[in-house]
Amino acid sequence: MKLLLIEDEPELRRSIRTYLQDEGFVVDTANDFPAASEKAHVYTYDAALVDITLPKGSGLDIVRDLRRHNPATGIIIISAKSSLDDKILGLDLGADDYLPKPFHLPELVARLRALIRRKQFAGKQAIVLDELRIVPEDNVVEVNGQRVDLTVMQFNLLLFLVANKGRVLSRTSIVEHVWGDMAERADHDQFLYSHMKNLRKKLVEKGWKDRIRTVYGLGYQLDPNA
Amino acid sequence: MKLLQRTSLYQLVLAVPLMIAGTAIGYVLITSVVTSEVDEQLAHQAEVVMQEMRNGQRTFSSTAPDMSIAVRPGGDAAITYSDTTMYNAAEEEILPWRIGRFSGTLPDGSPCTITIGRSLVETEEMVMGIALSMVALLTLIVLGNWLLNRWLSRTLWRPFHGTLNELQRFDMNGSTPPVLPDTRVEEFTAMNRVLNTMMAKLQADFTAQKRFTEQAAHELQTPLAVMQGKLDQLIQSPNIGEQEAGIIDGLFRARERMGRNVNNMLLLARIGNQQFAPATIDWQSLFEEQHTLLEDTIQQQGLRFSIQQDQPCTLRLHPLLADVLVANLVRNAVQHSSAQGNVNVKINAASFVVSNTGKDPGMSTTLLFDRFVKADPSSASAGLGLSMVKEIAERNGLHMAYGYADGIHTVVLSGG
Repeated sequence: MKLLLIEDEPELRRSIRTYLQDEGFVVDTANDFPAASEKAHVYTYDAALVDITLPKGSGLDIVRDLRRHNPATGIIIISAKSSLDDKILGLDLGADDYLPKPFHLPELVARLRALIRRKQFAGKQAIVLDELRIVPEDNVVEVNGQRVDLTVMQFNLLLFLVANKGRVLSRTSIVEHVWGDMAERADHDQFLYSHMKNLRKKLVEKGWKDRIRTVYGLGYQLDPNA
Repeated sequence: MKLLQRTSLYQLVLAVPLMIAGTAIGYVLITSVVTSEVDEQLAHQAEVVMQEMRNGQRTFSSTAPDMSIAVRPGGDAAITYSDTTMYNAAEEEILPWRIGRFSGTLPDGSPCTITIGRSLVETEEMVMGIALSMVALLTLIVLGNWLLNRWLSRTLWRPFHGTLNELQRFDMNGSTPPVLPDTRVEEFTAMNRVLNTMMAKLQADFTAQKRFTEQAAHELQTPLAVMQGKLDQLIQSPNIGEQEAGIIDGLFRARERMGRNVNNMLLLARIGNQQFAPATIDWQSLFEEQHTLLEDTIQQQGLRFSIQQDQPCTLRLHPLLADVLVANLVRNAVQHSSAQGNVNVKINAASFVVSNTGKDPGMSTTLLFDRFVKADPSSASAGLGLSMVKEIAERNGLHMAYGYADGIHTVVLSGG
């Protein structure tokens, strides 16, 4: 998977690139409009992460260019300008998703994976992790071929863990992903804990080997090698 | 109390004693004038009687109607006047009389007393008539004054009322301040000019403040994103001990709260800044969506959540704002609901009501909607939820009412 990351803030660029490289993506970066524009024209990418506010130009123009030249490239706008106009304009120009800053890197990974699935497999491709099988488009979860009935929240929770398998996920990143960033929750530790417990129970009941690890004080991890 | 009512009241307070005093003084003055006039008549009659006695007449001619004449021998030389009453058999009532006693001389040279009486019925009637006409005149003056004031307040004060109307419509969020015109009254013109300057300044300051909020929030987002990225990377490290984990967790929480506050500030600034075009909203499905999102929490807290739609609600709002509004309302209700409590949503054609059981907020209901004010200081929520609802409602011509009674919080949104 080859990505183009267009981001002018060096520290953020470095973080995203390293994190995505560790996820197995090949990441090309650009720090301003001319560099981004050139790379977008010369190479073909599976997906592009585009910041709107760039030195010497607007990321929206790059979105338009990319869409025209490479319809197959998935585009996610990552922008501090979370104004509605920018979002609508970006999506109108052909961006596939819009992720306002600040975001969690696991959130970016989950969105990227979902986007690439949509773009390349036109959905319907099951995610298989040993005895676990998920078809996100149909909201279907199976363990050893047996359907597991999950609530919407539990399903989203599982999908987020699977998309970020092997990673330590902070509690805040999980809560924000599953319950949205408007979740004003004073103490979501207990809240998340009980949801996680229920999810594990439902999966284990159908014969799943529990691979969810509680990382003390930090969060959770779906360890595929466990 | 209106200005006109107030001035009228003061005028009345002054006019009533004036009228009473004026009438009393008038009555006394007129009475004394009339009495001296009657006394002159009596003296004149006495002279006529004496003249006729000298001529040897036995009967005397009356110089005015209602005169009674009596001559008795004896008496002293003093002339006295007095008031008295006499019973009138014909009219069967007691009537006032004026009596004058004069000394005279009989044809035989011996002294006598001439007593002349005159009925005062006519003069009393005249005095009453004059007093009544005075009252009528004073009443007319007061009434006229009131009418004049009314007319003055309509015409002279017209520019003032125009200014007042304009001020009531004044919107700090407006793009162009209203311009109050110059008037023919110097004071009003001066006032309008001062107000024009003030309103322009208010709007400019408010716009600048909103812009600053938006920019500040915007500028914070990138560093927050950097912080978040570094934290997400940091926790992947395999060598994090218990102590470090605690520190990192604290950073995560602080970052999260900061991010949420920044987002809310931005949204509030934008709701104030921008026009979000209203559209027809399927409120029931919005509420149901929130219900689904919070299903697990509702189950966990043992809440009973019901949505009841009598008729589809016709309130219009921008879809994004409607989403934020409903999310905040429902989340707020669920969050502040007592365990095993009830959350009810009722949708009518013209309004919708979200109510939940919960403890007394213990603060003024107007404060509850202020930014950053929260009932429970320990909660990490910024307290922006309800102020967001209020802001959205106000900016979009909706009316929001909040009430607490018998352990139930109720928020009602209706057309403004």
